[in-house]
Amino acid sequence: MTIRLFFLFVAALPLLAVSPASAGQFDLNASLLGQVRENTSGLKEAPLNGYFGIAMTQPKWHLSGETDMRLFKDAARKWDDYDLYQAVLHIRPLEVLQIDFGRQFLNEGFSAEIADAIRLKILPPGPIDITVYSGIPRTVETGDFDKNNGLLTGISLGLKNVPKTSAQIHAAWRKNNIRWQDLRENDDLLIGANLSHQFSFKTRPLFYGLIEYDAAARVLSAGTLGVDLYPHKRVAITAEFNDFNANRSSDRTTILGLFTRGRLISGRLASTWTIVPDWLDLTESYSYQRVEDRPGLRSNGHLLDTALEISIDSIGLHLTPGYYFSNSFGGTLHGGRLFVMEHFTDKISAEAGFDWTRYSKVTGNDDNAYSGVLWTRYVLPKGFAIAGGFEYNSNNLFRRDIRGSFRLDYHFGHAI
Amino acid sequence: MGLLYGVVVAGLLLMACPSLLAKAKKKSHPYDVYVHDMHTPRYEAINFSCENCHKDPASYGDKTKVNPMGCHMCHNSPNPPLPGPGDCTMCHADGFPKPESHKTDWTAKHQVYAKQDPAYCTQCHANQNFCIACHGRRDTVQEKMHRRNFKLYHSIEARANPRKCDACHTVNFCQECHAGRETSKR
Repeated sequence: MTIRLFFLFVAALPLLAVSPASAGQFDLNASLLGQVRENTSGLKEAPLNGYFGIAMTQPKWHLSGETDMRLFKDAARKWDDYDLYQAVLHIRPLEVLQIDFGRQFLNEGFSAEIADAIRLKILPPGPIDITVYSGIPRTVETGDFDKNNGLLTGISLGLKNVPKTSAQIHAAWRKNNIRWQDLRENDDLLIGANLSHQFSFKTRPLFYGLIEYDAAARVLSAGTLGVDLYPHKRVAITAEFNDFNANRSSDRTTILGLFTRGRLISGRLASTWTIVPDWLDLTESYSYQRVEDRPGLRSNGHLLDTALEISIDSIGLHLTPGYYFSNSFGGTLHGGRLFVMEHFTDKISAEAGFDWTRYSKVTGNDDNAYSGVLWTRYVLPKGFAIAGGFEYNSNNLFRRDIRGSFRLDYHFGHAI
Repeated sequence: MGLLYGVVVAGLLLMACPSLLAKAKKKSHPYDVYVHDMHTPRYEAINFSCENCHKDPASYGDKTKVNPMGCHMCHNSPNPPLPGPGDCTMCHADGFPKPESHKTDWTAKHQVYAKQDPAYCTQCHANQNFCIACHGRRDTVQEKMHRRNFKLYHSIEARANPRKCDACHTVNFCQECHAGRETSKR
C-alpha cells in the first residue's frame, strides 16, 4: 500500500510541469549514508540509508507537492526496508481554501505525527482561521510503519491578525478500535486551547500557555504555562511549568503511561547569556520533575545541560564544550562533551565530537562510556557533496567499537 | 584509548592548520548575494508590491531593515506568487539566522509555539520534511537526536521525563530492545 501510494504520487508529480506558460519550481534532494561496523554478536553490518525527496510548485494550477522517502539496505545481512515519510499535494483552489492531501506531517492541536490524511484550511477574511482534518496516523518505528493507529479527526480554530498574540482552540477524536460491545472503547476525545502574548514593555515578556483535556478518560493530559524574557539584549530567559498525565484506560499505551502511575509535574529554567557578541555564548537548561512512578509514591528527577558556544567566524571555527547531569529514580549520570566544527574553506569542512558519560543506575549497571566521531566534508560541483566519517566508542557493550562511514548528498533545483 | 586520543589530536591539529585557515572567509549575509536588478522585472510582471520587503521605510536605505520574510514569499513557500529556487544554502551559505524565540532551549519548548501558530514555523520551514527529519526519519548511521552514549543511560532520563520520549517514539520502540527483538546495534 505504502509503495503504491509513493509511486502513484511520483507518477503524478510531472503533471505539475506540463503547463506551457508555467513558472514553477522543481527541487530534488538525495542523500546516501553508509557505514561498516560490527554488532554485539561479532557479525559485520553494512547499513546503507538512501533518502530521496522531491518538491514541486506550479502556481498556474495553484498546486504544489512534496515527497520524501527512505530506502534501507544491509547487504551483509540481506535486509531491506522502506519508509515513506510524506507524499502530499497542496491545492489552493480558492484564496480562502487550502487542501493538503496525502501522507503528511500533521501538526494540529494535539498531534505531531505522520498521517495519511486530508486537511482543509479555511482562511476567511475575518479574524478566525479554521482547520479540519481526518486521517490515519502512521508510526515509523522498526517494523511498525504500516500499522494502523486508529482514525484521527479534528478541528482547530485560530486567531489571526492580532499583533503579538496567538490563540487557538482544538478538538480531536481518535477512534482506535471498533468493538460492538463497547463502541467507545480505547477512544481518545481531546479538547484544548493555547494562548500567547508578548508585551511591549522593556523586558518584552512573552507569556504562553496551553491546556489539553482528554474527555474520554477524564484526564488533564497537558497543562503548560511559560514565559520568555529578554531583560537585556545579551540575555534571554525561559521559565516554564508543566503538568502532564496520560490516559491509562486505553490499550494504546504511551511511554508516559508506561513509566508513571499518576501526574508528572515539572518546572524548567533555561537561559542564554551572550558574554561576547558573535564570539561567546553560555547556555543552560535545568528542569525539575516530580513523577508518581509507583502508586502513591513520588520521586524527583533533575535534568541539567549547560554549554559554552564559541564562534571564531573569521577562521570558520565553532567550539561547543558542555556538561550535562541527570538524576532520577533510575540513577545518576554526569557527562562532558566537546563539539568542534571547522569550515576550512567554502568547500571543505570538518566536525569532531567527543562525549564522556559516567553513570550509575539503580540496576547496579555502572560505567564510564566514551564516544568520539570525526567527519570531513567536501562540496563538489553540480550540487554534489561527499563526506567521510570515523567513529570510536568504548562502553560496557563494546569495549572497542570502530566504525567507518560515508555520506553523499545531491541537490538539483530547476525552474519549470 | 590511545587510538581515540590519536584521532582527536589529529582532528584538532588539522583544524588548526594555518594554510587551510588562510583560505577561510568571513560569513556572508543573504543580503550580500541579493541582486535587485535581476529581481525587479519579475516583480513588475506580477505587480509584486515593494512593501512586501520594504515594510519599514528605513529599509530603502538600510538593507538590514528589509523584511527577510519577503524573500521567503517566493523562495520558500508552498504557494509562492512567483516561485524561486528552494535551495536554502543559495542565500544562507553560512548557516541560518535564529529568531529571538529560538535563543533559549528551543527544542524543549518548540511544541508550544508550533501548536499555537503553525504558520509561524512555515515562514522558514515550508517543507514539513524539516519536522519529519527529527520526529519520524530513521537513520541507522549518523547520530541525530541522541549522542551514541545515550543508549547506555537513557533509562535515567526516561524515568525523569518519560513524556519527552513520547514526542518521537511509541512503546514498540522500547520493546524492540527490551523484549529482545532488536535487529541491530545503532
